Amino acid sequence: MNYALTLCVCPLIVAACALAFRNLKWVRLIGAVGSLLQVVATAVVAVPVLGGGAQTKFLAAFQMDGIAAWFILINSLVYAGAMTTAALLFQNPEDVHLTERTGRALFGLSSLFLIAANAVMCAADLGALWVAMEASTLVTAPIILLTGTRQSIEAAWKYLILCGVGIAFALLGTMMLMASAQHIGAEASSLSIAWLRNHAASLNSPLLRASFVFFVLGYGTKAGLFPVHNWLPDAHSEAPAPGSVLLSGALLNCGMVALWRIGGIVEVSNSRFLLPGLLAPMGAVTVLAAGLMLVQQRDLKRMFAYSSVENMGLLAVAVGLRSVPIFALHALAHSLAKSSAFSLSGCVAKEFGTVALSKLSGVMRQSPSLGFALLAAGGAVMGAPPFAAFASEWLLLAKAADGRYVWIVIALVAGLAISFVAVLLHLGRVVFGERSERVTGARSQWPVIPAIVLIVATAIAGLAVTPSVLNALERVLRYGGVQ
Amino acid sequence: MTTNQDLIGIATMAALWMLGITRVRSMLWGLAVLGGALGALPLFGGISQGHGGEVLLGVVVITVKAVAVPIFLNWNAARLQMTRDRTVGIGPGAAMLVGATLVVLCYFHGNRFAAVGASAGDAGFSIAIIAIGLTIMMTRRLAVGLIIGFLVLDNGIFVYGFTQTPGMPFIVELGVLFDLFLGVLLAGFVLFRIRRSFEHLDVSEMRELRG
Repeated sequence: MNYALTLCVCPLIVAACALAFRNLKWVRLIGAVGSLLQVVATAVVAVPVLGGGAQTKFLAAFQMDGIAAWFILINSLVYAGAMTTAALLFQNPEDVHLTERTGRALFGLSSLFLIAANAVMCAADLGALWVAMEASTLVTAPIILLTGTRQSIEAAWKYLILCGVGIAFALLGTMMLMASAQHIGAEASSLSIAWLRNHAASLNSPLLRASFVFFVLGYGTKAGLFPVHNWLPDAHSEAPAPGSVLLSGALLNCGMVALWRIGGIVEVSNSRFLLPGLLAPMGAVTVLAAGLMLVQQRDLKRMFAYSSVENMGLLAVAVGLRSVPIFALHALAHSLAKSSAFSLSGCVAKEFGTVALSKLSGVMRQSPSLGFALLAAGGAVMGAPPFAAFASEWLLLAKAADGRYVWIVIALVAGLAISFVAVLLHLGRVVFGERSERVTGARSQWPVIPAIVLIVATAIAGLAVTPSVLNALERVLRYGGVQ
Repeated sequence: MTTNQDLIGIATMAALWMLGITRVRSMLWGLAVLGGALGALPLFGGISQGHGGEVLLGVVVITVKAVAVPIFLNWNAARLQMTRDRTVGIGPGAAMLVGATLVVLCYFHGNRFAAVGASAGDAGFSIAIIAIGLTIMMTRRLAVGLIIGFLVLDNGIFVYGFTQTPGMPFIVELGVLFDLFLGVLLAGFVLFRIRRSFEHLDVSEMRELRG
């Protein structure tokens, strides 16, 4: 048995306990402890790989390479943030519109989701990648409808159907890529990413291009790229806060990593122009469109969800320009910052009983720690210094300008500026506005702690970015296609 | 080879027929025929070439796509008292005409999607089935119509896979089918929730969320 499989142990135990124990108190404790242990286990497994250790294959279709190790580490941090927040928030599940039963279900489903998301990151074979991706959709759909409101049911339905169709297109893309390798005399190995990368130059070009378009549509739906992002704001805003943390911090990365790996095949084929010619402009348009939509938001969670759309656009540009360090750094920055933002939205909902921007006001006066954390999270999400997103966005702009992609740079600058102003204006009103009258929920400072830890982590990551670190990242994560 | 083309012809006809009907049970019969023809592709291919794996795959595909899924959806529709779907946008006749046009167009442009050495006509028909599935999804009001349209689309992708590629590894194929079946079960479960909270199953009337 491979040691990478040990990463399934903690989530499986948490899931089993969530099913077995009737008492939410025990499940909360086990979920929090299990998720922290999972971070330790992931560090033990992934850090040696990132240090240049052997990249081991396991279960035939999976491999722990640099990219996989990096994103599994992100997944575990996000999972720990979500589970500890849930454990602290669900003291009294009715406060957050859940019951004992749905609270337990959240812990169980989140743990199963972590396994599916890790499988996506490790997949070395396009078939396994697809199966894991669909599995991640299936376990997250029930999370969205846990609160049981009409809105949440509609959001879950939309998510299931739109992502279902999206992923079906990705399956068509997989089949087409396989068909494009027919004349090489391929055996069953023609779904292996490494094999396809090695034979990329001799793939049938028209089929390769068609398959890439379907991949971008399919996995792009999952990642939430404009114009196939419609499910994302609904799902993120209707899920319970810890669910939103996982959706935004871990699920969206799955789609982006899939695109990164497929981009690794296209990069060395003779259809290379599709990366800067199709994916990067799509990302830039996503950033601009999300920025414009951020202006008119009326709901704190929807606002953060649109900011996720924007950040996925930035990641798509990084994938299109094939820059490993920027891609990895921005994914880390976004996942940590957005996880903290969504877990804080859970604290706001619990304390103020609403997340509507028009009703929220004066958070700072009522609860200073929550107010400060919310401001810091907003800054981290939007890429203010010293947070990691500042460095990655700056590097991305520099990279695009170096490549003379003028329109992409213009769209990125405009989109980033608009969204920065929009989010800070909305958040400023929420945090500093006149004290609101409708203070309902129970007050407690503890649930803010995981979010603050995540914010500090992204600040440290931002301060740690130096040219030598970027070079090291480049070296370790170089190959998108598994070698 | 001729059996293959007969089967693909049956699958295309079934998809086209489903465009023109609105009775849920008839649509499920169409889905079963489509799934059966699809499963028969690897089944007959495996029998004539003596590949045990392909025969097994064909049996599994038929069990899931032609038997289990339609029976489950039929049970679901009966429980939720959905007997007749309505169309939105264009009527069934016009939709069928659109479908027929799609089939002709895709047939003549099939070589754009065909693998080297594979039949261009087969590729065209499979793309046509995918397009018909999308058309069904776009023109139905009831949630179950959307699921059926999605399944037609998915079957078209399988037809493409069976005719243009040597097939995915068996274990991956099983994973794909398993995921698909779970997805249908989950969608059926969500249908019950929709009925309970909205008191109707008309997805074009679901407007709680705004952009």
